[in-house]
Amino acid sequence: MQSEEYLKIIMGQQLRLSLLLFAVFFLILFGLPLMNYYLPDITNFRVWGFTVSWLFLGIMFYPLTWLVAYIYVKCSLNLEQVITENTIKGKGGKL
Amino acid sequence: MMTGVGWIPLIFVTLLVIGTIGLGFYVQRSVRNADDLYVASRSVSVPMNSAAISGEYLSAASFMGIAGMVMKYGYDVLWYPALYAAGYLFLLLFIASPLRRFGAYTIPDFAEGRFSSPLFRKIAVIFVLVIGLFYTMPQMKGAGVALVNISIRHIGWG
Repeated sequence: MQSEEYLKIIMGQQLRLSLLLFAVFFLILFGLPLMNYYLPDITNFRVWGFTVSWLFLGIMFYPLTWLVAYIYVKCSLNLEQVITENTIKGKGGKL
Repeated sequence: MMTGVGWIPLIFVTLLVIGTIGLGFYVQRSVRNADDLYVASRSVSVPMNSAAISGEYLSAASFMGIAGMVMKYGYDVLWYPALYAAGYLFLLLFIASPLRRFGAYTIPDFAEGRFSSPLFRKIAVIFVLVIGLFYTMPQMKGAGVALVNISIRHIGWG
C-alpha cells in the first residue's frame, strides 16, 4: 500500500536522524570527562571565576541540549515536508 | 530550641494542597475520554506544556537533594541534574515520534500494540513501576523532612 511505504521511509530517515544526534550528544557527554583527563590545562582555565569544566557542566550543558533538540525538531519536520513533496511529484497523476 | 510551628509556611502549604485538589475536582466534569485524560486533547500549547514539565524540576530532588549533595561532595554532583535533562532529550529522539504515530498514550500500550504481546506489556509495566518507586521514594522523604521542619521550627543552633 502507498501509505505503508511512505511511513516506512519517513520512520527510517527519522531514525537515522535520531541516531546521528544521539551520537553527537554522546560525544558531548563523554567529551567532558575525557577532556578533563587529557587536557587539564584547557578545562582548568578560569572564566568569570568558574573553571571551563564547571561552567560547561553547570550552565552550558542545558543550552546545548536544547540546541540538539531544536535541530532534531527542525530537521524532522523538514524531512517530512521533503518526503511528502517527493512522493507527490513521484506519483505524477496518481495520488 | 524548638519554638513552635512556622505559621506562614504551613498556611501556604495547606493552601497549595487545597488548591491542587480543588482544581482536580473542578476539571473533572470536562474530562470525557482517554484523549482528554492523557493528553488534554492535545490542546495545550508547547510553552505551557514546557512550563508544566519544568515545574516538575522544582521539587525536593532539586532543592534539597542536589543542593545537599553539592554541599557535601562538591561540584561533581552536577552531573546528576545534567543527565535528568538529557533524559528528556532521549525521550524526544527515540520515543515521542513513534509513540505519537502509533496512537498509543503510554509505553505499555505501545509495547503491547506494536508487538502484539501481552507479556511485553507486563514487562513494560514492571519497568515503569520500579522506576516510579525509585523516583517517588526520595521525593516523599524530602517532603517529610520539609513538613517536619515547618511544624517544629528551630531557632538557634543550640
